[in-house]
Amino acid sequence: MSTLLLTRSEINELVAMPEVIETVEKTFKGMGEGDVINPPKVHLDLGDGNSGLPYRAGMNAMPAYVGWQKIAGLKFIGGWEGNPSKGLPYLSGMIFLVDPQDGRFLAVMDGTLITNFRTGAQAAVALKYLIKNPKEPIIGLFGAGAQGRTQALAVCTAFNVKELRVYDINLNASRVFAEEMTQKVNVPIKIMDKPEDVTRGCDAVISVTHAKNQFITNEMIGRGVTVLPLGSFRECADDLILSVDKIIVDNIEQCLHRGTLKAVVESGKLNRSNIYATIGEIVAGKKTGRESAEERIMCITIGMGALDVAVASLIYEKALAKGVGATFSFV
Amino acid sequence: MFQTRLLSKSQVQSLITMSEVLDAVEKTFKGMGDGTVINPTKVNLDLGETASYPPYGGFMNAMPAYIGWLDTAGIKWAGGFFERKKHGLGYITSLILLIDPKMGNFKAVMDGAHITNLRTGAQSAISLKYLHPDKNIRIGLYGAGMQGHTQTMAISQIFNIEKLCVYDISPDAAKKYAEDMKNVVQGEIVIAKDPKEPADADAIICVTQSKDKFLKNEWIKPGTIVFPMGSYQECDDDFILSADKIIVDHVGQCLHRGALKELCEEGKISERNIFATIGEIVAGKKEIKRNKNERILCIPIGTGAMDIAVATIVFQKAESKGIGGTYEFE
Repeated sequence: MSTLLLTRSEINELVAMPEVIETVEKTFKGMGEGDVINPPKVHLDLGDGNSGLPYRAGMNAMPAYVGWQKIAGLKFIGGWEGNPSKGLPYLSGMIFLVDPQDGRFLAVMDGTLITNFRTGAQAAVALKYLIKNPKEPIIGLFGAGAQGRTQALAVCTAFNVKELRVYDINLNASRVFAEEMTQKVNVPIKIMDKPEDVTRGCDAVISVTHAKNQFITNEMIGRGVTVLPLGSFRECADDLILSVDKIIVDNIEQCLHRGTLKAVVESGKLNRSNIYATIGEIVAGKKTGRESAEERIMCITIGMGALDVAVASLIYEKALAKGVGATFSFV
Repeated sequence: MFQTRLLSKSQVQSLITMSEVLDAVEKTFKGMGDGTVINPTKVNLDLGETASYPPYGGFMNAMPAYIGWLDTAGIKWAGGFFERKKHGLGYITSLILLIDPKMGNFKAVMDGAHITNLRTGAQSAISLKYLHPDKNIRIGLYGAGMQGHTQTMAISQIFNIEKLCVYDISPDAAKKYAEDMKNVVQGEIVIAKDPKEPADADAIICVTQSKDKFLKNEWIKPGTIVFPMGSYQECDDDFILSADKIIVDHVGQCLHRGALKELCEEGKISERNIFATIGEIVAGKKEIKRNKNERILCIPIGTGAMDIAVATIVFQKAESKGIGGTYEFE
């Protein structure tokens, strides 16, 4: 019984953003309809919590079953804060796929590139249902790292973006980003000096930073803007979170206890009754996304294993069809 | 950039012995008691084992852990599917992934089924080492399958098994077990015709798929230690509620799976009824002064920590012997 092995560079050859967006949209729909099983992720604290370990890292185990693909899988992924300064990637992750009929391991593959692609795609899919001006939107982006690149690629694949504005605390990172991405997305990229220049007059703003300083203030977000704070810490000011018209999340339980909403939930200012809908409910047509051009909408995706498993399954099928990857018989 | 070692089931089998597993399991229990092992509660993906959807009758458990004494981390993703038996495969499907906790690179991917079987045997044997101070022991065994074999192998390395009485719903399975284990068990092996017979023992080991609470309270004599290792409830409610001490490997897990699940859901058993963890006993944090009439219920249902510890020993040996494949995922 052989298991297919796929490296990051093989996945890079096989992956195409339009298909990832389509896969993510179908999987969100499945979540809304109830044919996706996605238990809460389990966290292994390697120093990013209270374990006392010195590694400034943590791993998440994210199993899921995706009904429309009839596939089960697990992503095991974590971030090492100290890695980038050593020239190593921040993220390290792997994905396993199993046949849900008999538990055979179908594939073992790198999980980092798939994570970046699906994280971009989930924002693009959410924006399809939430953005004010879907024809020619102006998009703001905070964070010019690896995640920023796949966000840009996804949103420019899903929309005819008029202008992409980027801000990073490291100006050079923005420059390299603009140089690299202008060709790739075929959209004019503007480097901004101040965060408030990014949001002025934009339709949607995506934030993929490690910021904990709540730099996205209430004043920065005008009427009709959709905000996607995707960082793991605190990017948004409390009064912004508490005054937006709709809060939409990928998973209620996860979003109340991690990232953007964690602090306001812990201080008792926000609870599950303040969550308008999940993205799954909106994509499945059970709830309406944007209802007026005035609404300020906040959409928070912490990331669900089901999307990783779904995209990994897409890559696996393509690899089989094209004969890409090595095999190993574990059993 | 980084090499990941790949190890098949037969390679894993060639690299590890039960005595090494016993040593790793004992040290890891101690680490759990000392607080140098991190073992979050496993997360279950129900593929129809109990849920009505999806319809596959199986499950997968994700079991990550960090082991201080080996400075290693990883995850086992393992499950059970009845469908596998139709294809001549073992009930369990399992892979273990090891990472370097310093940088997160993946050190190894290996089959986890053999490691699971060995460590499950070793968990009860090490628990018994602390609960049954005598070198001689009489064992009652329910379930003559793979787990029954590894339980016996592990116990026989620590104890002199004077007598082993085995019962299986399949008489052929019991016969095969007796044949397989005749050179492992020091004393005689008796095949029970009545499920009551094995209960007359110093320790009762249940490794079955039974859901019908077959082990009755009245069969279990004073002084007996009972290990219900199955995924469902093997002993009756009266025994669980009247046992003098309940000892588990992982409080969170044991309340939500296996022997205690149902009574916990009914509110009849809670964390307060747990006397100690095995780790606390091995680390010397809780003393077990046994009254020889006490009936003890001990549930080492299985932790990812044991799998990751044993897999790390396997990996280290594979590296030094150059066994297995290597692959660069990144």
